[in-house]
Amino acid sequence: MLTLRIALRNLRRNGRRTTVTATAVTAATALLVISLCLMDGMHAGTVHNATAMVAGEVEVHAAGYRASPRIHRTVAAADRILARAHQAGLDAVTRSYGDGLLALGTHTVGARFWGIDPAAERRAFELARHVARGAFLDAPGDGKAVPVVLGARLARSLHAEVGSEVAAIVQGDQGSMGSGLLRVTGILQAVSTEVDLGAAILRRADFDVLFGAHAAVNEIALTSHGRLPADAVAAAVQEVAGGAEVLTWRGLSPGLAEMLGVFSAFTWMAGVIFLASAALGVTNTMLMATFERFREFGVILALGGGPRRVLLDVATEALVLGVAGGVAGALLGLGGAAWLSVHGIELGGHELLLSGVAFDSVWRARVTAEAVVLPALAMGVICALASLYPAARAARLDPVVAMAQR
Amino acid sequence: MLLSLSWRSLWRHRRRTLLTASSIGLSLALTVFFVALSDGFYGNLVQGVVRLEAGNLSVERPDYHDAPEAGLVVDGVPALRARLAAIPGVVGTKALVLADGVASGSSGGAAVRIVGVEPAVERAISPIARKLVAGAYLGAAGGRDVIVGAALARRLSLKVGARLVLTTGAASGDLAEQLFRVGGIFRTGSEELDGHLVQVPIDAARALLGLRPEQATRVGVLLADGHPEAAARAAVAAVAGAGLAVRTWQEVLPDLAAFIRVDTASNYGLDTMLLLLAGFTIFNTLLMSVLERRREFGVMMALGTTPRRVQAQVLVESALLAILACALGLLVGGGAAVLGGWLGIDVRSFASSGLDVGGFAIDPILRPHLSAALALGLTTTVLVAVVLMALVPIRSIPRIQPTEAMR
Amino acid sequence: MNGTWLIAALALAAPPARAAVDPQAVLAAIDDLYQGKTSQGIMEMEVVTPDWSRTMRLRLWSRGRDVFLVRVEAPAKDRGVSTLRNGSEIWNYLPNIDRTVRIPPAMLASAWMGSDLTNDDLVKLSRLSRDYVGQLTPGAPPGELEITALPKPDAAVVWTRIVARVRQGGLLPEEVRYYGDDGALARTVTFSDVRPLGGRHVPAVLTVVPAGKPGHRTVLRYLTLELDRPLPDARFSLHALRNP
Repeated sequence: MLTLRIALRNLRRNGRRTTVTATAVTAATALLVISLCLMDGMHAGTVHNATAMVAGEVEVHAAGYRASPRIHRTVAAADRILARAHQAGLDAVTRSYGDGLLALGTHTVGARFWGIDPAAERRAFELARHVARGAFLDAPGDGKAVPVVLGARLARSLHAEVGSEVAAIVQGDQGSMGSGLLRVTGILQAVSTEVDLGAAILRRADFDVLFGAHAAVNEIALTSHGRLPADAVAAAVQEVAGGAEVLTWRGLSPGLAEMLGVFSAFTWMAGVIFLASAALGVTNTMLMATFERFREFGVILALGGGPRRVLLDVATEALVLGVAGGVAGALLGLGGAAWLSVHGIELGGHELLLSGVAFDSVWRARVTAEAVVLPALAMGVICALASLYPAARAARLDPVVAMAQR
Repeated sequence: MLLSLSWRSLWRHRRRTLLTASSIGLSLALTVFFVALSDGFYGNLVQGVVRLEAGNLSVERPDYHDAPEAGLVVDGVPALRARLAAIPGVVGTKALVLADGVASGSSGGAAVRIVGVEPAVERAISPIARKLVAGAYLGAAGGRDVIVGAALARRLSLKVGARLVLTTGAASGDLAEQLFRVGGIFRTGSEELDGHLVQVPIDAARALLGLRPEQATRVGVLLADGHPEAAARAAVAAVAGAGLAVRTWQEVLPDLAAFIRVDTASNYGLDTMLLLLAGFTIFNTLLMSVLERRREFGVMMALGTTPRRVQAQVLVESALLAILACALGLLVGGGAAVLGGWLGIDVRSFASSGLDVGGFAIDPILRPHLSAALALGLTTTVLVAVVLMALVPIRSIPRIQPTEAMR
Repeated sequence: MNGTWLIAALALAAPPARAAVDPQAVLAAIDDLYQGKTSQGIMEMEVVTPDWSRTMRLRLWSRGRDVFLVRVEAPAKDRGVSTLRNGSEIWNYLPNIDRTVRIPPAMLASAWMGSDLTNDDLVKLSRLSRDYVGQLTPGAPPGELEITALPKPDAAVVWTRIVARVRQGGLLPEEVRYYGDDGALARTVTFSDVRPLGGRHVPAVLTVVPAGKPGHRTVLRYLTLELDRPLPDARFSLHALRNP
């Protein structure tokens, strides 16, 4: 207690020095917190983008469907999987896919038709919010025309606009030829290469009529909205999936997962560099502040305080400084990061596609406990170490020599 | 006089000098290395892509961009290229013939993008020529060998030497088909390229589409590194004339352009944070070093040195220190960046094989890229910043009371 | 799916060249098996896959090799769906939406009429006698001929070898095997049920079995065939495509 009081008195007496060192610790911690939250936010944003639009954290397909996507390869255990997903609090959607052609005037383009449940899709994923023109499938129509939502580049190559009537020719369930007239109700903006180039999205009932299919579930996409790790989501439905293939987004788009790997590597290196830079600031400030006190230490030693006294005093002061600066920095950084997690930084990119997946170009910080606590701890420890080293040297000195130090 | 006084003073306080110098130097070193690392991240990508596609600028028919058709071609290519090559900053031109079609082998067919290239030009600059996993790159311009991606080869069970029939709509509107042989198989890691691209010698592509030898779909212009695209674009447009459109690679490849824009912006964000950190480090160290010398300044002023003179000396000391430190920092940071760029930082443990951005492959080996302009710019910034920052603590020097300082 | 056989099947005509065992003449005979100046007829197409199978009845009209019109008569669901090929253009007509759709070159790899055949098969003009050089295979069983045909250097065909077994005498093919790049069998077409058709004696049933796709089979069965009855240009117009 006495030691603490002495430390506080010392700190107060050397107001300027205390201010400078405390500022160093605070600023380094705060900047580090903000940087780490930004880096974490970039990573989390990428994962969110990859899973929140359409793909889900986990997808279920019939075995062999992904290698050879045929409409009759359906997920047999769909009902059980949906029930289990509901139990586990996961959002799930079912989708059907089929290939065919879309024609408008003299333009004919190959397309991939989707049969979806618009309401479920809107609940679970962001696809519905990416309609650039027109409306999504759940908008009230005239009840006569069959509504379809097209990918942006598909619409462009068809020369289709909202309201255009397009002809669909498809290969049906049993190899039969299906055809129908569709009314374009919406055109999606950049979603993914796959969707942009080829997706023609229908309501499930309309899809079934066109393809002569009966609620064929080719795909189940599941999401916990980031609440659970993807592996846990997969595990939740795995046991009821039967022979179906349950894959996390990493398994579904290895290219993207690898891309994220490179980003992580880059971010990790950046984190180390930032940490080093912050540590450098605190270390040098503390080293200098303590070395400059050799004279003072000499006096303590000469008055018979003993080396332990010196060490204890310095350590206590550093601890107080480190804790105060660390806490202040963490709070400051937390505030900055929280602000950035809401407002974000506009990076000025629209229609950005990475590995075929569309990305939000607003960079938001993500506040995690680690990103706040770690810098504060590290800076505090570094602060203490950086003052103990010179203090230890001073403690071993002859008081006369120490007092002669400038 | 002042200079030598400052110099001596620096070395009298060796420990403090070293600490301050290391603050400045290492901060600069870390910043230089980090910026080089982030620059290198997409620098290679742009280079590769620009070379793979048409080049920095491309000349094509105005309506080709929105509605590509085999009949929309640039005429008089050799004369156009000669005039383009004379434009300052242009280091090369290339002709491309493009078409969508079907590639059929004995085990099936697939929709492909047919790209007719000049083998002699592409061999030197195209990333595909360096990414072959089997066979050899295209030989003569009129040859019948083609280069296909690994994913397409797997889908159609193609090996080197396999027969491949390309079918496409010719310029006349008729259907054209011709026999080719697989000469090489490439793997870039990009699903879009590996699964759909077929490179064909340009004369063979012309023959397939029924084009004349002086026609091409697109003429690409490669610019010298760092040459301003806007100026070159105007010159190229003047040469190309009214009937042709000039497009930048950003227009031809908007996905990639968007990625680089976003990546650059996010790097600026991180760079700013790092510079702030470095600035604080330097500022604190300077502040501290002046603070701890109050006693010394008090003595100096008691002995008759004017406060202004003391301030001048501290400023000169800071400048000298900054020069020393920056030299050190540049050496360490630049050295690390150059070494890293030379060896490459392998991140394949994070990413096992292929990555792509908007269809273009990223190398999983990070290579920091340090440009002289960048290194000089950062160094100058730090130098100026140090001197400016030193102005803050020295303001309090005239207020030092000799008696107080010498307590 | 490069189908010389389908062209052969869809086109019809002139009596096969008789007698001389000239390998090239045998190939020409296979080319011309169902070939006439014009043809019209009804054919059944059965597509069998491990997951489903279905049978369609098709009505055909053709003139020469690269002009034809096919209309689906059964099943009822697809009735009236028609395909017109005129030179290099392919058009589809869909009666229930009353639309005519042109198939662009890049779509040729997609399936035709829901079968294992692609649009590509419909426009490929490869002809055995034009694109291949045949040689008698020595040691064929008595009463039979076997011709091994290799592609001419620049012929735009994907097969590396075609082996045709022919019943000696009538020059009627029994089996044609197509080989791919590594010399492996890619598909086999067998000809059976020889009967009077279109004024000649020809196999009425062609069975196509792709190698390496167990359970897949496409069977083409001629029900009627009439050759050389003049057909007007209007028969192969877009108007005719829409109006049976």
